Amino acid sequence: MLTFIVRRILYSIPVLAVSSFLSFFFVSSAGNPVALLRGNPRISQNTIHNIIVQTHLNRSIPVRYWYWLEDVFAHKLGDSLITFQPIWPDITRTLGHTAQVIIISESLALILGVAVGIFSAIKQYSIFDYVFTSVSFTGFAIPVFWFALLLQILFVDIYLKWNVRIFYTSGLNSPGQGTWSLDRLQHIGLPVIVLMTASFALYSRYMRASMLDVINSDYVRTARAKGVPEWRVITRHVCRNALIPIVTVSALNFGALLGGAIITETVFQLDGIGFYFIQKLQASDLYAVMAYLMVTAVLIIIFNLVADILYGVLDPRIRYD
Amino acid sequence: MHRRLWLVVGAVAAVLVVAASASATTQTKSGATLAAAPFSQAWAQVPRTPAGRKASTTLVFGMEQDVTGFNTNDADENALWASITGIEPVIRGTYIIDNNGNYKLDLASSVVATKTSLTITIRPDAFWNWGGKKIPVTNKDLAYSWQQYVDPNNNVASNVGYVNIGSYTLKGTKTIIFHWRTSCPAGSEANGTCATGPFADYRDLFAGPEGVMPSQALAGLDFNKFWADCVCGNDGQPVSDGPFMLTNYTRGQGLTLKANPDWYGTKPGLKEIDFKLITDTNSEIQAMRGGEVDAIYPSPQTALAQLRSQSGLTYSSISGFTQEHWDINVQAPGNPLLRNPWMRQAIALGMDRVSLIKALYGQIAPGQKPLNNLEYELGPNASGANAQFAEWSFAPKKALALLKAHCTGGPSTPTRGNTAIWTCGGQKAEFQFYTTAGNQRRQTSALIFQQQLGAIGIKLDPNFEPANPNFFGTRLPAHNFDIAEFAWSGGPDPSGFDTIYECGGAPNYKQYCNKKVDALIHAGDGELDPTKRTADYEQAAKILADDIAVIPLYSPPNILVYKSQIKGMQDSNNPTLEGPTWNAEDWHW
Repeated sequence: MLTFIVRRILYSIPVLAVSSFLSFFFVSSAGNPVALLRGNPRISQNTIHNIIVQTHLNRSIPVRYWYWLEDVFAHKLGDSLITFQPIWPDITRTLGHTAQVIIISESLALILGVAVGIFSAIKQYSIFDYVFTSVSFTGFAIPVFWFALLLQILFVDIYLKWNVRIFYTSGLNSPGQGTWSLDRLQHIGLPVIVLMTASFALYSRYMRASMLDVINSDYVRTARAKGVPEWRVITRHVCRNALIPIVTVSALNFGALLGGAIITETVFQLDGIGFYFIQKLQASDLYAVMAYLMVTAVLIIIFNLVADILYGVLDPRIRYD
Repeated sequence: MHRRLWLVVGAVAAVLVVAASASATTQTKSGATLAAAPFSQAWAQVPRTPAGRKASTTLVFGMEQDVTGFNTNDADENALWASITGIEPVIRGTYIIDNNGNYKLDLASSVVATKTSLTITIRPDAFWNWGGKKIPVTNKDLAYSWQQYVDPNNNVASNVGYVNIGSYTLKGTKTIIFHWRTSCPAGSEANGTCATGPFADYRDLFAGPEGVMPSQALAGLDFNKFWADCVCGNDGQPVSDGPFMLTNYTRGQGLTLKANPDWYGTKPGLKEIDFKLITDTNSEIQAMRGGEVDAIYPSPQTALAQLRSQSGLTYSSISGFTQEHWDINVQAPGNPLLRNPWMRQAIALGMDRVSLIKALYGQIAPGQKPLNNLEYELGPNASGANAQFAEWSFAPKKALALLKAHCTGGPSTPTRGNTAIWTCGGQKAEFQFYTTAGNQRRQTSALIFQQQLGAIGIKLDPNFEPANPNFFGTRLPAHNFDIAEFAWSGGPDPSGFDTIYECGGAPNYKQYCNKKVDALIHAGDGELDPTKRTADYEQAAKILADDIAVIPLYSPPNILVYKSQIKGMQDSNNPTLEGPTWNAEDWHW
């Protein structure tokens, strides 16, 4: 197992190097910090020239990539080219906030998705199955930004009508309370619901399909023929095997979401890593954007690895030699 | 296997929760960099309800954009929201511009300009509050500020006017005499690092937010790097000579201003103002409706209409000093037809700017009018007899008459949906129109003008491209367009527009050149008599209107929405870059 992990980590180094260069190339081509300054008639040509030299815009992309690489290793992901401030504290702060929302939403989505998927499979073509199939498809189809706005309006209307504050509609911080306070939950409640809805739809459909695959397999039929009670067949023989694909999907989904739920974070003004990315991209803050891309790349690699390891844990047929 | 599974799942969850909790405490590591205290510390004390905030004389203001840095004199940090939140109420200048566009002495008690010098005297009761220390604002602060503005290594947002100063003399501790340059080293005028003679717009020197910087507090700090995360001295302690001090700030969250007891003006009516970051206008509207914030200053969007009718809120809309306009490229590689004045006149006469403004702002800012002066945007200098561009108001029949005289093949009357395009001297009247992508307002504008000009036989081909890097980075500097729509930020004084009309000016993307206009602008720039100066600029505006290389469209409205219980905000909606916090000391519950 250890050899497998080390090998995977070693493989990921060239992947990261190539992806970092490609990302740098595309991000550099997509934004120019000087472009917007040209919209201000009072900014002198001397200032524009200074900024071009300071940000190495007069050098070729491979040379600029090398400058960036130096800065990454010398200053923990580097310093912003616009503010000259370290990027690392911003990344850790925003990633923490995103993680808090993602852990809660994904946990709820997994619990509910798996439960509904199991029950839908057992009661295939029942009213329950039809209702939750509809709910799942709605969850897939509903645009995130629209759903988020709808929830905001709904809970503001509830507040205006009954003076009851169930959820706040924006921000992350809550007056006077800690990181895991009820007040924080009132702030992140709506983004959690939005993210959970999409993931719930995914997990419940996967679980249902996976259960139906397993429920009709030979060994399940054999277990039933041997007189094993139905609840035991479902929990021991069906669920356990049906969970395997869910583990892969959820680990990959978790890694992707940790890279920032950009739309949700923007609508609800969460100081998360996706919101950070969008702000820096708009400002053409190249090093900050690159830092974000590198962090998300590492997260994806880690969660891919976690998915593979969990797969082996769940499925005894898989061995890492 | 069950046990193994749950152990792995449990371990992963535990690691994630611990890691998330550790970093989710929103602590900003200051380390070697200077930063204000975390916003969450101040925010933790803010009452959740408007009633609670009223009781504690605290106000929460929605902040629509995050701050790149607070040194708004730095070209990279020259953003409106940095100025509104952390600078305008904190670091003052010699003058402040009120909501009617009038210059009022603020940090200075007198400012006198002559043909040879500019004398500024700082008011005797002005002090810096630097981490609790009370330090007089002196002429050395003005000298230091000037040095920063003209240092060629500094990325200053604007050195216009400062480069006209060659030296200074200190008189006592409060007065400084700046001497205008009489000559410049070779080549320095061309790159904008030197100019000669008096600068007639002297009231804009050292004026407004961050006009005068604290020399002692900033000693040893690099202009291009200071105030990225605070408005503080070299020890990290907040510094202010305004009504408030910036005490807390966290990027991505918000900032806190607390009343400055050492300010020379009226004691602020609020103990604290918290700016909460809400960058999405729709979310901002809901936060305002739901009482999560007490005031907002949103970018104009149709969705704001719902706030106009909500009880308990005051909705204020005024025109700002921003000129949305068309640049018409009058040189190659622009379409040669546009070099003919009659074609530019026909285009201007074929555009119904009033109906465009109604379509864009009818619901959220009724009463907006087209801009009709290319030097002065608002006020008496831009209206009445000075509304020179009004001669080109919508008159499609006149436009057709002009086209008929020079071209063939177009429609005989203005016809909606017309497809017959004029051909003039063998060239089709078809123009490539460029503007920024992702801007609904400009997309609407392009569609409306495309229809209106199409009705008189002129074809407009709209192209939308990203502002950065394409439109501003390459398209405009390469003059690679026929017609382009974008905006300039202006102010009560017209000198900021000089370079966009001067022959060879760097932002003169349309390549317009008229020596008479240049002469009038130069005369106005050096004229210290305000009446004569205005006359020079008005003459220039008249020629610019006649030449039609620029078609002024409208000024996007500035909208301020606040709880009606808040007093002192009725004058806060300021059309200049001073923004709504220019009189924050007057706000109270």
